Amino acid sequence: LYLFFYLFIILHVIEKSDKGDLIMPNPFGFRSTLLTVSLLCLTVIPLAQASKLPIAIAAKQSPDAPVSNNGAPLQPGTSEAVVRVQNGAYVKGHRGLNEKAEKRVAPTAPRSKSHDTSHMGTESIIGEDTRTQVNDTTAYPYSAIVQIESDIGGCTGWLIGPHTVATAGHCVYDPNQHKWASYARVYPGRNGDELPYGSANAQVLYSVVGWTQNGDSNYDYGAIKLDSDIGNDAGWFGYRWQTGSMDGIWENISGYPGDKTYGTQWEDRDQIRQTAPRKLFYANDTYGGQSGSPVYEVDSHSDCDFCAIAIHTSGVYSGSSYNRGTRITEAVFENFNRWKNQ
Amino acid sequence: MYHPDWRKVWLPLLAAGIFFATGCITDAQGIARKVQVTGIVTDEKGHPLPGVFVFPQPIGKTSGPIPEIAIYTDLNGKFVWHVPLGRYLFLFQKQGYDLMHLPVSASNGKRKVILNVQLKKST
Repeated sequence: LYLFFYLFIILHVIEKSDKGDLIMPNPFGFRSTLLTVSLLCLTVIPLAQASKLPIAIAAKQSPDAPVSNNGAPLQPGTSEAVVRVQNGAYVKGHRGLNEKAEKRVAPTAPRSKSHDTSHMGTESIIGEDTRTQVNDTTAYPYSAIVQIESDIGGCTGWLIGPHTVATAGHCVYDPNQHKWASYARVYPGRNGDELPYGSANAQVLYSVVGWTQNGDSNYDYGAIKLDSDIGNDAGWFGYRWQTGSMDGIWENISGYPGDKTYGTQWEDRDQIRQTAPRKLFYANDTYGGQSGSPVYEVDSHSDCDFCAIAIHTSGVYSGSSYNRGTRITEAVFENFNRWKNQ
Repeated sequence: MYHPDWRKVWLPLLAAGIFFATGCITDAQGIARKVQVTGIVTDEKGHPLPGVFVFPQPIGKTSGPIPEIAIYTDLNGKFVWHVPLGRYLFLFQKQGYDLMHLPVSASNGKRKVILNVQLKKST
């Protein structure tokens, strides 16, 4: 582009005489001065910018670079609990003091409602609403799912350690108003007015640059460090990442939707319908308030137990027929390990 | 005295202008444009209704992602949403009151849409 401008300007300023000879303009005249200034602009400034480029690139953080609301430096994550497998890695969950666990039921057939597109593009209930209420929220892994109350709004999260909750980035940081939640309180296994594990308050909020600076939904994830080790009782989830397609994996989403009796937990089961590098798509019914819910496998994966593979973020939009969540990639996985180690 | 030919001056000026403009454009980054949708929810007597669940449901193929966060009206009945450009059906829900849906078009020229809503008690 710059070369094009050079040639065009030079050809435009230099004139031809009647005989066809090239005539240079008055060297101290207006055109010559303008030509000099233009050439300077088109050479010196780009060169100066180019010299700064490596510095700018180095200074530009990765969108997965972690940030916190207090700006304190983060300790590195621990690798002790990480189990490496052929195409990824996982961290095992913990069932807490309560040994009760949801009975695993292997799904038999895809839901017929996935073919019903009559509601496509209008809401996050896809076809018929098949959400069911979780009656015993003290059974693992429901006990490790938390309702989040904050001045940003109502959300869901899931324990990934004794004092760390994973959730959506928009549940801890609002990029529209450029602000972190000023407070957040979590209730593990809440069931209406019943608080089987009590509550805990946020001490530190975490997210990543891709969400806090750019509001990019591909980086919509975060975490909350709590003021108590409430997860020792309630338990926590395992989580994993893998390369390649995750289509066909049966998964469950359980959380705290705002259209139901306040503080009640609801779940729905489906399978991964589409895999994108940073998003997973599924037809589980969800609703406002379920942001940050775990998208976790219903079939056992190695020793990972109930193993999360994504963080639910948004419903159907832009003509897509599926709800979606932020996929746990290697970078997300490493950030979870880091945050739970703070 | 030398008199500049103005017909030949515009091109360098244009080149310089494009140079600076492209510099500005390539440096531009940030969050996609959104429209603020706000308002107050009241009961039939005009009293503010706190705790009303307000949620925008995207319609059609042009709407953007809506985070599935639960926004409730505050003690003054006020709510605030920021939605990407597109069309939405705003849902207002509170136990004991009739459910209400209101269409909202968040188009390019708008910065703010005000929705003042009155909910009727369920019969």
